[in-house]
Amino acid sequence: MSTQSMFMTSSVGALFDQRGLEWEGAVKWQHRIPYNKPGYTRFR
Amino acid sequence: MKSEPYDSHGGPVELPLSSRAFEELLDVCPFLEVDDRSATLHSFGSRLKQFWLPDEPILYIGKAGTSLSARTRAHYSTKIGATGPHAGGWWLKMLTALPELTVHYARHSNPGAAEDALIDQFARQLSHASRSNLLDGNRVGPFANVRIPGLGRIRSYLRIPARSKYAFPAIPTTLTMFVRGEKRAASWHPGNGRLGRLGLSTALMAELVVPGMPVHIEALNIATASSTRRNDNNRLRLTIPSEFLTASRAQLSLSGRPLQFIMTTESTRFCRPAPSEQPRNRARRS
Repeated sequence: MSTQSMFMTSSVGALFDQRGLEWEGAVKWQHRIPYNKPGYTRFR
Repeated sequence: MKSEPYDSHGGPVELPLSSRAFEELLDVCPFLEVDDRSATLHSFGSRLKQFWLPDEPILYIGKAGTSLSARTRAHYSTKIGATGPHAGGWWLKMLTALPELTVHYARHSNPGAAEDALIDQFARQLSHASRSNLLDGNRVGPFANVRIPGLGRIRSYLRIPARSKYAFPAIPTTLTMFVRGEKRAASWHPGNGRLGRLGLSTALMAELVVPGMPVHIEALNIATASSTRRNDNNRLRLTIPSEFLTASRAQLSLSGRPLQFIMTTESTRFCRPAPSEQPRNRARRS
């Protein structure tokens, strides 16, 4: 199951949508958030 | 943070409490108590169940104020019962389902506000059935979110700042306190970090603590307390057992007169004698 489909079947997406947040990704527990994309290492 | 098994099975999930994680917690916190009694796997699990939401896949909502990678790394590496690197959401680590959890993330220019908004939204959508099973119907949020926006960080105990802890026992114990003339028990834990915790109960905290207003605590010895019959509002008198009255604490009690702590619900750290009890040498300097 891709992270996108995991997202679509959960209530996380609905919650993000309701508060105007744009879902960017998901990782399994203990996996690292990817560093190689702008914005992932630091919120500004 | 969400629970994967919920989505794949589509039904409520009972609290998957890990007995191994509980043993680890006891190693770190040997004085762990539930309702003033030493915690057992059963009593601890029963209490956690009163926060568990069987039909909610979202278990925790947290913000990363700076680096998202560092935040998740700190969360992963914090051991059960440890206060750092980041203790937020540590109840997740009591679950056997931990390896199956997924971390979802989104970007926001104001992570703190977004966190509060998400928790608030979560609470608004919670079913009546789930809400009615909670220990505290006012504390509504994902299972592992101990701090709920708008309710203050602590609702059942007073935080005692490090510089006020000298008058308290150095080990966890139960203290006797008097509130409006009534004798009650209060759990005391000196804390591993800077703050000590004086457990009063949510009900008493709600009664005594008014946001923005001070809470007066007088630390007394037992003899003084037994003769105390004042019924001051919003004043809590606390006895320190004689075995804990060390020389330094006795000296700091200003020649036997009660030392008054004035605590506030905000960041708060006052520990000062009442105006009439100011030491003379200090008065001369001023």
